Amino acid sequence: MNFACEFASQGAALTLARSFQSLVPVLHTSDVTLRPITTGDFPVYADIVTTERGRYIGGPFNRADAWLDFIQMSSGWMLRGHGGWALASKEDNRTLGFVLLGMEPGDLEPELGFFLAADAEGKGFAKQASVAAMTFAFSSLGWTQLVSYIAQENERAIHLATSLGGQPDPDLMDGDTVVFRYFAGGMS
Amino acid sequence: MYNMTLTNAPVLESENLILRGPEKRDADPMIAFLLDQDRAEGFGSSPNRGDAWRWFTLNVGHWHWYGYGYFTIETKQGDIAGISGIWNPEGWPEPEVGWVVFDGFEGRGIAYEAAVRARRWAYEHLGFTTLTSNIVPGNTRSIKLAERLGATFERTYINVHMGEDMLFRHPPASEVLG
Repeated sequence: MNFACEFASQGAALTLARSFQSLVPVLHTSDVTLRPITTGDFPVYADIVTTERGRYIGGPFNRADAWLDFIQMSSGWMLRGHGGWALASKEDNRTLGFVLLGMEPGDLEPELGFFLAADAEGKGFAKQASVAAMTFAFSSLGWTQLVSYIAQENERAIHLATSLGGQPDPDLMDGDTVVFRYFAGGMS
Repeated sequence: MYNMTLTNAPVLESENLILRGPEKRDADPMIAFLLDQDRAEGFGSSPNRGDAWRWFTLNVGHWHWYGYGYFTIETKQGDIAGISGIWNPEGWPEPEVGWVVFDGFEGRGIAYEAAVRARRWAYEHLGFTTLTSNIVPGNTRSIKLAERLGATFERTYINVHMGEDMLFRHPPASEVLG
């Protein structure tokens, strides 16, 4: 079942939404465009977090919670000047997943998050997009550090965080969550 | 104002480097290089700051015109170490792979690593099948690097800005992408 809010608005409201979206910086990698999130990306997000794939990020979520999370990721730009991007394939423009410079209740500092659609895994897209997002955070926003909170069974994410130069932060480990810290100038 | 990206250049990664599009904060190190008449002799130095700034913005425009240009090379430690990319302004015989390493960053293989990455991107994503490098006679450092990149001397021609110029041809895309 889809909620009515999942669909794009119309007329002047849609025009206004598009102009907000146009303020989100577009980043490029060799295979991926990091572009503003639109309502059209929600089905991909829902497929990630309402299914078995969502188990590492506190899910699977129901569709309403997925929508709230999706809104949080998109509206970060408006409220805090950082947020999520949809990853679009340069080859066929399909939505591959999301990367996020986010902060949610409980976070003490901004986080790098990455969520890939099942059919987009294993091709290096998350790595490319994360490098671009980190370069933006350190270089354009002038941040000096980022963290990733990762479920300790999420081996793929741990592998990615390590390959990005993330250092385990033992002070912030909490139960089943491992925390990787990235430093400006410390990419590997 | 945050350091807005000036182009649609991709962010490329190699073992030790990040290649990204030019940003305003790169202008000062690039201008310093262009004003260094000795170091920039083979690249084409600028006689004054205004002309150097014009070169910097020419590269921004070059990215918008073609969708490619010179990347800024950052080390993974975050230092701005030089530029490398694909260059083809009016008057050039054909697109070339170019490189510059700033003062203090030489001798670490940065130009080689950046040029390999930029060339691969041009072959994989821009669809080039062949690429050249134009080097002024006497620039032995660059000639050595071109040869290390697998390029071979093809001919001499007269460049609109540089005068007599040696044209080196890189291995074709089919060979580089294997």
